[in-house]
Amino acid sequence: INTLDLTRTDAVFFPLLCCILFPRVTRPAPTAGPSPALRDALERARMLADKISKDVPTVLAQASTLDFLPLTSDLQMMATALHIPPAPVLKPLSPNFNVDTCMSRMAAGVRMFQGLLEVLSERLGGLDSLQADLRDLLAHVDKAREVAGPSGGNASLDEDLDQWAGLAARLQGDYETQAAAHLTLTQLRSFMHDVIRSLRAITGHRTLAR
Amino acid sequence: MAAAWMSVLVVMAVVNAAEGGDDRRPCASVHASSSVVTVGSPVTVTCVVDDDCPALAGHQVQLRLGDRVLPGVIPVANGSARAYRLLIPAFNHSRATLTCCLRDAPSHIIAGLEIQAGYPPPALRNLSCQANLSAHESLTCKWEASLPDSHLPTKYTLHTHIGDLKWSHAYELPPGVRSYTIPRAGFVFFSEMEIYVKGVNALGETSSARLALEPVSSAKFDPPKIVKLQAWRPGCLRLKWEFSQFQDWMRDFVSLEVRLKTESSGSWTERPILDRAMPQRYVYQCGLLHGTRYVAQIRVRYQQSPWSEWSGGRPAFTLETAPTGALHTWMRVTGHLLHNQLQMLLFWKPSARFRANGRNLSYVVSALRTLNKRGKLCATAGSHCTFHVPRKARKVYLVALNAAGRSSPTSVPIYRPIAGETIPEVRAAAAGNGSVLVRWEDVPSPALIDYIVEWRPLLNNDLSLVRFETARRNLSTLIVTGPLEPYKPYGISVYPRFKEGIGPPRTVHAYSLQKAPSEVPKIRIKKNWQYHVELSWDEIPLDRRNGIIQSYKLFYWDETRRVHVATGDPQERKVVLTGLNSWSVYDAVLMVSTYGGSRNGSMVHFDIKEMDPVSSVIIVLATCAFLCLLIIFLVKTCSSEHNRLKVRFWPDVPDPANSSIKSWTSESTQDIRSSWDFEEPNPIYLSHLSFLELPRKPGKEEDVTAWLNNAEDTSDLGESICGSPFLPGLASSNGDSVPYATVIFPAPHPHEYLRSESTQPLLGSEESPKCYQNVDASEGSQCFFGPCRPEEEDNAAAAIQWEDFPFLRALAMNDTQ
Repeated sequence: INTLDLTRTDAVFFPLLCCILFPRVTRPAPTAGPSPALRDALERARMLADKISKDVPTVLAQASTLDFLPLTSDLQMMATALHIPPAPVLKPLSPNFNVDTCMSRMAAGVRMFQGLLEVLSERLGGLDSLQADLRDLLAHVDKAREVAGPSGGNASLDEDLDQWAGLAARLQGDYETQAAAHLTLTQLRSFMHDVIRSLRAITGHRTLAR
Repeated sequence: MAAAWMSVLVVMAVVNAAEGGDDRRPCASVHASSSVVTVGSPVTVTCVVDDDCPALAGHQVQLRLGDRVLPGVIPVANGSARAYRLLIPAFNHSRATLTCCLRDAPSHIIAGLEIQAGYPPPALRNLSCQANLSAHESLTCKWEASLPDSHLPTKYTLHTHIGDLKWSHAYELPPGVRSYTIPRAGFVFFSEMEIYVKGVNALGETSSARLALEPVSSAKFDPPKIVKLQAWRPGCLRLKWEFSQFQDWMRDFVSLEVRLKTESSGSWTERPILDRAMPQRYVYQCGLLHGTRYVAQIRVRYQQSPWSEWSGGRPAFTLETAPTGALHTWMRVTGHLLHNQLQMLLFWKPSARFRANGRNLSYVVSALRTLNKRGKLCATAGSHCTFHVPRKARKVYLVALNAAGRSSPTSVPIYRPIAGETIPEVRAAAAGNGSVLVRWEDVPSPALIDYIVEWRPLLNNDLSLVRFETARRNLSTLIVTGPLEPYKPYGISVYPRFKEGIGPPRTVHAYSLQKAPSEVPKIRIKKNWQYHVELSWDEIPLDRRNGIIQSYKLFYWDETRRVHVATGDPQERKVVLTGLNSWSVYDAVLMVSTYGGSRNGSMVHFDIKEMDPVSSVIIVLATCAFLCLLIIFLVKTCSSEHNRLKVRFWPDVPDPANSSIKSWTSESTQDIRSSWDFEEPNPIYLSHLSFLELPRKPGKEEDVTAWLNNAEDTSDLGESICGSPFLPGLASSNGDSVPYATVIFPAPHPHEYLRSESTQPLLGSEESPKCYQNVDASEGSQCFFGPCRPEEEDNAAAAIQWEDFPFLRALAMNDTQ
């Protein structure tokens, strides 16, 4: 009798169970996010970008004895005169600005700031930690690029952004040096904010499955 | 060493000079298998001398190690040169000079070589690195070097290799260091790097094991901060945390450990470790007590890095619920009131399972199981309560309340005091750590339920400080933990609880820890007699005793410094010192001892004085006053009881000549008579005076007649009177005779007075003369005294009568006196 009851029960509930579970089972798999290695690289890059953006005010306070904050908008002419290049633009991810392009811009920007800080560090102290952080960030961006996939046609972009080399020749006096440091570090902070936003966007991008 | 090298240089210069010419090459040299060798290893040394060296012509060569000549030099043919070879089997010098010199002239050194001996670099082990992520980020590595030291110059380097950067670097280390700090530029936070230490010297090289680490994983983080801690669900707290300011860029998962502590418990409770915690995210902690204040601390670590230090504590309360669990109670009757009421004192404390579940806990004692205003006996937030119950009440109910609700009532039966068996003895002794071990003797009663041990501080009467514990009937010891304050007295009472009620308690005083008293009482000299003195002192106040007084010891000494000890009873607090010398001054010190120590008081001086003048005067005056009073008393007594005393002590008949008849009374005569009746006859002749009270008769003539009729019977009376000493002119005719006289008078006056010269006692009134007659010896006439003479006669005649009776006049004078 029990067996019969069970059979009847199964006959009733099994189709119902299938109706409930089938759509879930047959639902297409969601688009995979970044792989663990890529996620780690992106997350660590984001942490380092965050660290750099937080350390910039401290470094700026240590490196510069002059207060340029009220003059930030007035220093644009000086930035041009000193040949301090603008940081690469990091746009929101789109078909025209994909992950690879974004990470290439990141790497180029980090490299640019590394070069600028290297020039400045010859005349100012207290930039070592920031340089090391930029180096670490670049390492993780490169690692993320390596994990994310082969890049194509971005090397020229990196080369194009190699415009900081002429800065050293233009740093004539202490004022120029401090102004250059202020402009560079201010731009660095802003760029790091863009990097953080971009890394967050890349981490959440669904097409990074590999 | 320097001198040896100087000699080498000098000889070599000589050799070169001897050679002459342009060739300045030395013609001798020393070679060794190795100039740096391992300590104890063999070394082959060869001294090569050119054949054409003119300075060495015809000389033999020897080898010396330092100042010691090495034997066993073997000449070896070596082409155009002469060679001398020697094997040193074990070179045990850290540094030594080998010289080749002439055998005939040892001071002539022709060549030399320094040989060093040591070990390869020691093994490098236990390499470890720890990143510092605080203000100055760095990576510090430490290692150890095994023994022995190489004794040779050794170069150490710290090698790093960062795979992600494909970058290697070697840091040269100062000699002797065992740690090195790699600057921030030398490592990548999140890239694995390889680190090892290498040591190189002439005998070889050594490397430590290679350490692969991610610098952040090796960092000891600063203590994190708890940003928020709040109640969540009943029994749960949630907290939000963050890194310190130097590590607040960390967003990766870290391991987080939380520990909690309630306000009442002193120990931390560590919670399970959370392996995927991130800052600024809630961490939930459940399974906590309700309505309880918790203090939380956290610490973090990244992967396998060392744990950070614990954060600062942050408090929070869990959500409240109604109290649960039972309460332990102890209730006793404290008084009987009018109207059949009992005054009760109830103490309670939470049981192990009791949970307050709330912050503001209060208690209500009710006569009814259901809580309402009518049955409420008392309400308090404390742990005791006093209330009245009817004499017939059997139990009351205790309920705990908080803001969220109330507990189920705890039934408290009422036990009345009974005069049951008393606990024979209770003792208490310190048991360490602020506790006291209480022992009592069993009460062998089948009705015994259990024992209640109650203790309280004696210096504070606050009932909230009273504590109690229940002991089963088969127990006779209990450790009272408080902790009890050290050096403070506590009263510990043990109550036997029977089925019928609670027996009388037995109370002892106890200290959890004792020490010497804080003060010593002052000695008072209470009594000072000759050769001994009594010293006393007051009781030490309870708050200054610091323990149970064990003894009072008085140390005293005189000028000879011989110390005597007298022990005083702790209850009486006095000592009597005896055998003292009155000519010595004594010093005394009182020592008070408890079980925790002793304290000496200040020194006092005393002596045994002779009687001082004031005391002597007082004593003499007192004695005199006493004697005066005694004399006055005796005199008064004698005067008032004169006759009785006289009869008692001098029963002889008084000499009528020396006494006043006026002072005699009828009673006295009766006494005299009666005493004669019972005593033996006096061998001497005694006088006797009889007083008769004659009834007053209206006719005085008859009385006179009666007296006159008996005149012949007292014919010799006048002669006796004339012989009285009051009449010097009269001489007694019969010296041996004893005069007898009877004075007869009607009460109260006038008197009748009879006199007799008879030597025989008057036997009766019928034989006595009826009237006193005075016989004038010179004129031979008789005159009579008394009322026998009529009143009507003139006064001149009466005066004559007195003058004619000198004996009576003398009596009258004596009476006046």
